[in-house]
Amino acid sequence: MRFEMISISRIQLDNRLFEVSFLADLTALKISVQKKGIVQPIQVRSEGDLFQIVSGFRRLECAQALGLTQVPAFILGEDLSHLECFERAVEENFFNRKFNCVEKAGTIQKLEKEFQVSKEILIQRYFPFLGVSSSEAVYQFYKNILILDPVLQEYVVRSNLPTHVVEEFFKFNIQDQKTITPFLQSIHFSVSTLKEFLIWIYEMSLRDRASISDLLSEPLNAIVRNPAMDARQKLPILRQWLKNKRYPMLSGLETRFVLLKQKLHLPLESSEFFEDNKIHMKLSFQNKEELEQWIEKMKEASLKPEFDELLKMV
Amino acid sequence: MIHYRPSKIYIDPSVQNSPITQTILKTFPDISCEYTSEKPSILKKLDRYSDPLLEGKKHLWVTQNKGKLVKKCGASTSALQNLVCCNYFILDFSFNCHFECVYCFLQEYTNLPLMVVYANIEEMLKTVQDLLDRTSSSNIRIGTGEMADSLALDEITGFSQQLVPFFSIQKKAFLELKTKSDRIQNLLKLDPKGQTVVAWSINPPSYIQKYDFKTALFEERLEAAKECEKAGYKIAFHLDPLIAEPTWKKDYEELVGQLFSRFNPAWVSLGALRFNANLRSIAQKRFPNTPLTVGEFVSTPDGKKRYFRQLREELYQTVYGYITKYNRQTPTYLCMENEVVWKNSMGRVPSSEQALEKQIVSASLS
Ligand code: SF4
Repeated sequence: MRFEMISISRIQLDNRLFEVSFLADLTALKISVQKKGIVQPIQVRSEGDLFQIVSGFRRLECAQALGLTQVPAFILGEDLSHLECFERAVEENFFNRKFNCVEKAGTIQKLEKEFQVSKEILIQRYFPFLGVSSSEAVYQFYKNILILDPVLQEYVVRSNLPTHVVEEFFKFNIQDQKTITPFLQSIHFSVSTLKEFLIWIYEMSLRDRASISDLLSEPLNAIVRNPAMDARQKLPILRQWLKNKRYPMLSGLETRFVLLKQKLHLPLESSEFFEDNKIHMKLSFQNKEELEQWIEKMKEASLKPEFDELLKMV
Repeated sequence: MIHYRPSKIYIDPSVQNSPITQTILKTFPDISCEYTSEKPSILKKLDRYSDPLLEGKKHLWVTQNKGKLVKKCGASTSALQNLVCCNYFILDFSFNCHFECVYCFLQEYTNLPLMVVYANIEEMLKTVQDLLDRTSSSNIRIGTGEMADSLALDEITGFSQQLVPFFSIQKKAFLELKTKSDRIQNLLKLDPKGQTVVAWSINPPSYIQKYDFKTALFEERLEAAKECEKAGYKIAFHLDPLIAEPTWKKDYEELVGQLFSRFNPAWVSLGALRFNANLRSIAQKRFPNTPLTVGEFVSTPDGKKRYFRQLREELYQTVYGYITKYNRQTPTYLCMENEVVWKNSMGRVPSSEQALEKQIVSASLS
């Protein structure tokens, strides 16, 4: 390996065999390159008179954007195989930053497809290197990431979603993924509400034997594309819509309970999901008069037919 | 029904002379066998497979049960308050099952996905005998179908040949063999003397096809039950899990009709579909597109997912109604349910677990 300043014009910029980054944020790097130049030389290998880039794709992009014509580079020995060069690229990237899940998936795919690493060796040797556990389930997870729609891949990375949520996307085909995308783009989901959304629509499509696009056409028009609502307002409305559809009987009971409670003018609560047969009531008062008012209200309420209906409900 | 055939057998030397081990070895003389007092090494390699649970079941570990050999059923010891229980005892003779029921809670035991047979049968029977010598109850039901199907492996282990004769001379206890199989050949050679009940977990035929993979079909189960009845066994049914499919009312009405026109069951239990914490996602992963998990489930205080209470009550009330149309005397009880649900569905709450136990056993076996 030798060090040299090389001209960018001698680098094969479109040869991305050793690239591992996905959605790299270049802002900080650009500032650093502008201030101090390229501190850490890129790595290249000779290809005749030209150079093939092994690591430093992002540094090179910044250099180009800043109008540099030369970059410092380590020229790797010709005895290194393609696989060894790729290992160096991964290693260098890995020690400088955390890989996102699409980058890990891309690395695994390159090792397998471009560098003919067997699945067995991939899992046993390279998975620990990538910081993932050596199991078939993990292998499948990263394979599935790569068949996600690119827009979703980007969403997964930008939202830094945990594995158990990313897995929920795998249940949907590309067409369904495209249907889901506008929801992700216009609604502020938390991790838990996103998971709930994905599970519920999947289960409803199974239950009703309906396509995701049929299922979601109503909220797409009424909520997602509604210009009168902002992203935060949309979430509770969407959740209520979903809950009514996913749990029609339970939602019906809850709605009825709220209606009856309003008619009785009492602060009544059911147990969670009506699991026990009691109605709870919590009241506050400051003096005897207020307490007597409550007693009066309760007496009145207990004579109403709505009260009997409420008792029957639980 | 799919018969079990392991790809490898691991034998703990401490049980190599057990009659159970000997029967297994005789059944599979051609299968590679490793003697080891350690846990089988395959356990460390299972996560290399896309379905470690499925792969694990190809490995049969014959060992001794070092834990509690006889214990009370989960309902009796549940942390859930007001759970009505039937004082049932469990004899752990085996762990895991080669059948693939979508709702099976054993799928959650991912740390031990092997087929495990506990071969220290003498010790097990001695523990049962000690329990019976100590108890004042004369209606004890002891079952083997909690952590495994009671009969699915009987053709290779011969457990029934040890258990049925043992219980046939008992005065205070009954053996319940709970199954979804049709492996009754060993049973037919024995005389239970009224002390063994063979119970089939059963659902409408189309549910069995959709959710009980590798098990005996509906008709195969009922034919096996008929054979057992002829051989002197009492027959019971567990309508568990009750599944609220869109057509459940009609389906269960037909099912109850079929059962009661052909049998006079010793008892019937009802249990609505329920899941432990992670089972729902495990089942969805192992059985993609299964409609089993799409019902209206909610979290209940014991951490399980169940149909919400009103729906469970409707299921129980309706199915119990079908049963009483045929026979008002058949002891029918709810499995793992609380007092509220009992009261609203069955119109009564048993006063104690002993009372329920007595009601189940004395009405049916006296
Ligand atoms: S028969 Fe029972 S133990 Fe076996 S898979 Fe089905 S539910 Fe599980």
